Amino acid sequence: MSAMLRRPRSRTVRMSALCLGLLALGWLLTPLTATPPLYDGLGFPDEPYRYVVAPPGYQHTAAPSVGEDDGIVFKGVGPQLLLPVSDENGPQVQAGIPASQLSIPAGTTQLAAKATPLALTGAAPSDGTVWGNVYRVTVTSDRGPVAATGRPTSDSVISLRAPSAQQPAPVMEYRATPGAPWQDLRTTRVGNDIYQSPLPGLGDYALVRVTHHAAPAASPGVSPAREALRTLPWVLAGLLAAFAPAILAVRLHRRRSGEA
Amino acid sequence: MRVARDLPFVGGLVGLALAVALRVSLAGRAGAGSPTAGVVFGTALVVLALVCGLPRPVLNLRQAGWGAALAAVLCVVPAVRRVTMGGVAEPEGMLPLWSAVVAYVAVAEELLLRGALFERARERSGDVAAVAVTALAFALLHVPVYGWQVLPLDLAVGVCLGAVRLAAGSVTAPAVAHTLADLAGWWLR
Repeated sequence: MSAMLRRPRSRTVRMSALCLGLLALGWLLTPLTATPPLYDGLGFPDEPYRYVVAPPGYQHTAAPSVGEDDGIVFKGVGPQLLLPVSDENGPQVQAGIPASQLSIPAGTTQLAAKATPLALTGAAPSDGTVWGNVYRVTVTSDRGPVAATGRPTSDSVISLRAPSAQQPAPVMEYRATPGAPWQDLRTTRVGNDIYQSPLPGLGDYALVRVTHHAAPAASPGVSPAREALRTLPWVLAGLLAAFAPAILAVRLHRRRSGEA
Repeated sequence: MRVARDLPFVGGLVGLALAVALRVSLAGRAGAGSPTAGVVFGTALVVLALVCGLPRPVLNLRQAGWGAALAAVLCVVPAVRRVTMGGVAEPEGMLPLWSAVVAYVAVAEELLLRGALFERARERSGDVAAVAVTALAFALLHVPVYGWQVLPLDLAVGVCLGAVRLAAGSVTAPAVAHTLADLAGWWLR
């Protein structure tokens, strides 16, 4: 009797251990910003994107906030990670800056990191248009400016929220100084409208909607592609509506003929 | 004959793919944040679950207990992150609509995946295959709205929900777990 009870219990224990292991692995492989919704049905309601300079006709919003974080330096050792995050719901910027990436001046006791929203100044990216604000990531100390000359680590990442979830996805671009050319970063979508890239250093970051030169010029009226997009939900709904009765008919037929 | 035998299972998976495409195309630039697209998606899944053969859910405290226990496990990491890294306050006025749609879609996903499709997969290939296939489908259905980055975690969560389905013996337990974990996200983000 006890052996009979033990077998299902050991199976439950094994299954629980497998599940916990898989969950731990899943969380380890998931980017920092990909917090819930992950098992979801509906994304969280974000407030409208806050622009520094809104496009014409855009609704009125509060000014975008500056992401800030500070840390204490003790005996030359800084905080493990500075994490400036802006206050919008959801945050429009979040940057992870490991202290190991920074060259901290001697005698520093305090570090302050900022991710400041700006309108685009200087040269625009050559491959597209900036979508949303430019974010300038800076770190200062009580002994002067701080440079990021160390090697980026796995914690060196920046996430920017796009003004909407519209696809195709934008590319994150970076320039070290306002006069430097923009360079593409490896960009990963980590949420409904959130994009993450490695943080190679301090400077300006922006999401860029890449211009596809092969695209035909916009013509007046509704384009065929847009028209097709408009009818797509109806086509899909029609397919589903036709599909469901077919499955039901097969199941009923099987039941009548005595199959499973 | 084989086609007829497999249609409720394969057809359920194809129907799920169509429902995801319908959701994405309806949501447009709102993405996962569109309540209308969420409700249409949930309704499509409920209909598919019913036509694919949904076993009668068992409603009792044991099911609720399994579901609540898994939900608690799923919320551990988000809760730790929330405490250690802070989070955002959601707009309170949105909570009733948001929670209603989230609960509806979570239950609908479970009725199809851990309800009808789980049973059809188990009939064909056994318990392990049922857990694996429904977990994979669960992970893939989230990719179009959240990107590939969610795949590893959603795959793991899918396995957990399938395991609870096996242990509890009914779709009710994973439906409770899924719904509670999703709703907790409002306070854990």
